[in-house]
Amino acid sequence: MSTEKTDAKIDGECLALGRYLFNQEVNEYVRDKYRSANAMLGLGNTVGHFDALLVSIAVRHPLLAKACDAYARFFLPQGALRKKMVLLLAIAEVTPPTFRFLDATDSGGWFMFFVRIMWKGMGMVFFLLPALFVLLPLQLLLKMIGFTRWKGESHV
Amino acid sequence: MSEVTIVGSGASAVHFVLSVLQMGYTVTMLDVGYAKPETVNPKDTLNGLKENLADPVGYFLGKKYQALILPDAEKEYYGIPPSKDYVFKIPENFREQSTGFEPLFSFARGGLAEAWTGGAYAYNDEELADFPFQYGDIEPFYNEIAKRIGILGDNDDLARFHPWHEHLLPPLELDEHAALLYAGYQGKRELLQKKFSCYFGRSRLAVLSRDFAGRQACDYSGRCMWGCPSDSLYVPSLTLEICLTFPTFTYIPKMLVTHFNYGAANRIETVVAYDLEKKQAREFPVRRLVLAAGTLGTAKIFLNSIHRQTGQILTLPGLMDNRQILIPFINLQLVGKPFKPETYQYHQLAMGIAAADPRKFVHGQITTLKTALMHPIIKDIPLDLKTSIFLGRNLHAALGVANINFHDDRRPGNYVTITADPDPLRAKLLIKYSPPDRENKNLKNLISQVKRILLKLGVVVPPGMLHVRPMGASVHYAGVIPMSTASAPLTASPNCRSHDFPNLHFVDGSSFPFLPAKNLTFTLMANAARVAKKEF
Ligand SMILES: Cc1cc2nc3c(=O)[nH]c(=O)nc-3n(C[C@H](O)[C@H](O)[C@H](O)COP(=O)(O)OP(=O)(O)OC[C@H]3O[C@@H](n4cnc5c(N)ncnc54)[C@H](O)[C@@H]3O)c2cc1C
Ligand code: SF4
Repeated sequence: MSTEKTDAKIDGECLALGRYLFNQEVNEYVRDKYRSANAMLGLGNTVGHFDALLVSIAVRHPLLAKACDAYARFFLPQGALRKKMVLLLAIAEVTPPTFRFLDATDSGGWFMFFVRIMWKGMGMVFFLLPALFVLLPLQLLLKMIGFTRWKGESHV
Repeated sequence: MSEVTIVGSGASAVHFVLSVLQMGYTVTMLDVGYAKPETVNPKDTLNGLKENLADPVGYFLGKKYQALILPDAEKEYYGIPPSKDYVFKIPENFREQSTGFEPLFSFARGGLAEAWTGGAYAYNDEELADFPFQYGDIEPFYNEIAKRIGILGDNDDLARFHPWHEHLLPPLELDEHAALLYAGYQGKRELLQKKFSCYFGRSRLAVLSRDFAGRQACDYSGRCMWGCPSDSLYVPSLTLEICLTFPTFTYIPKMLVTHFNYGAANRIETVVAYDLEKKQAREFPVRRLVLAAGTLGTAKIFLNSIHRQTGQILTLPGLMDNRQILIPFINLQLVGKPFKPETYQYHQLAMGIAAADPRKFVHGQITTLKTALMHPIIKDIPLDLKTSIFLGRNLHAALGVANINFHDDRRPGNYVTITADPDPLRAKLLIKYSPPDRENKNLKNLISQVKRILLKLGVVVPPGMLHVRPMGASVHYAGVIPMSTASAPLTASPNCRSHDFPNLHFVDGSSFPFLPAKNLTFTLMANAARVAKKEF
């Protein structure tokens, strides 16, 4: 894939993950940094086949991102998707305006916090279960048949 | 030729040197001495840096993203900030291999304490029981160092463990979380003391609460970990700057000292260093040599020198370091509350747990989370990342970590040695460490005790987040050439003169015969000043 195409794809990935994680469009500076970190840290070219697949599903829609995120936490905790999301979080937390969002609390105090965390916890389980049924067999299958590397795309 | 030649510019070295310069000696200091980069935007707070720097990611995460902590990293809760990279830079010629120990070395101008967190606690008589002197003997030097660097503290419940010496400055304002914890302790003080032998008080810190000796009082910029822009948080390079004002002082950086040469009656005649710039060995004649290259650095130079002259490979037993456990906690009263970024960043509270044997006192420092990078914490929360971010945002003000420190003693199985190599530059420092028997059981008991103490303060420890740090991580190294009243080989006199070489002194942790739980650097500095006074 050409460099421009790869860059555009990484930018798209950054925007999609930014929307999912911070409910906002990340700016040009964040995208630049995300792109350069992906290249420098080799986050694209060291991943396995399933790993890459998970990233490409996650960037399609925030609901899919949620399912992949929940799945990755338990079944691929050190995989590419989590690395890329943690990278984006690290960039966002030192960059305006995203750092202000990350430093702020949600309104409502104690009670609302617990309501929200229960809701989010249930949400995680809700997304994790179908993800488990679809993704776990796929992960095991790909492992069994020995696909360890994503051949075509070097950037995810 | 100077009357005194010293190796190193760390906390130990600079206070020894300042003392002998004040006594009128001429001094040459040989040091690798990597220097700190220029402070960026000194007037900005931490959030000001995020807003105003052209490349905040470069500053906070590093040009090579070296401060980024990805999910596959070791379980540490913070990375070294790029602005402190120079502190941990290692010359390519320096070689080391460790088993059971993860050492940190510094070749910086100012040494490891250029990145320290400023905890400065005096040892008491019980902790000095294995030392060939008592608290009364070293007290004047604690006073002297406190006067030089500025230490703050309070005469509180911890004063029973940490002697109340002179020149202490009043403490800083507590941040909201620390104030809440401290108030919780005051309310349950008797119960905690009676049931858990647990005492709380203010951290003793090498930080200024008022302008002092040309340095400014802390203005709560929240930049401590990235380097204090106003020199309120003490670092040894500040004392080096004072030494440099003496015309009798010569500082020679970029010198990696490999060994010394000695002649009749084991008198040291020259010290040899590898010039890192010119890439060649240089020999310096010496009258009196002082090693202050940090415990491990000093041991390497000492062992190399003997090997060069006699062919012997010696082993120095008794390496010590404090085991540390990080116990993160959540204060339920602060859940969902905002945090104030303009606060002092490191610990402001300390705790002590008394033991039947006072040498086994357990020392803790409690850091409430203010400005810090959150991704290393968020990535470890056992939930999907989006929910973890929600938790991180809403729990930020409620988070804290207790850093619990344990004493260590000299055991023969923990040692340093070197590999045989005709080229002194190529010789490798070998370190071997195993924890004491029953350590696991003792740690388990203590952890459960700390959890119960925290619970009494309305604080819970989330499961799976506790971290027993590897040995070497506390960077409190000591013990390989101990002070002793008996004149045995490979030991030092009560005033840290080598029993093997009459014109050699050790003024770093290498000569400590015991390592109490509390941070050692204040005692390193005081002892270095003591040696200067007693022997020079
Ligand atoms: C993150 C962090 C936090 C810490 N927090 C605390 C704290 O709160 N309280 C506390 O008491 N302690 C703390 N410490 C530990 C403290 O920094 C050390 O105890 C202290 O720096 C040791 O000082 P030193 O002078 O003996 O040795 P070092 O600091 O190791 O200095 C060694 C010096 O020798 C030079 N050198 C070494 N080898 C050679 C050689 N071969 N040739 C020429 N020069 C050489 C180096 O350039 C350096 O200048 C902390 C350390 C770290 C890393
Ligand atoms: S000690 Fe910390 S909070 Fe105080 S001025 Fe220095 S960097 Fe700022």
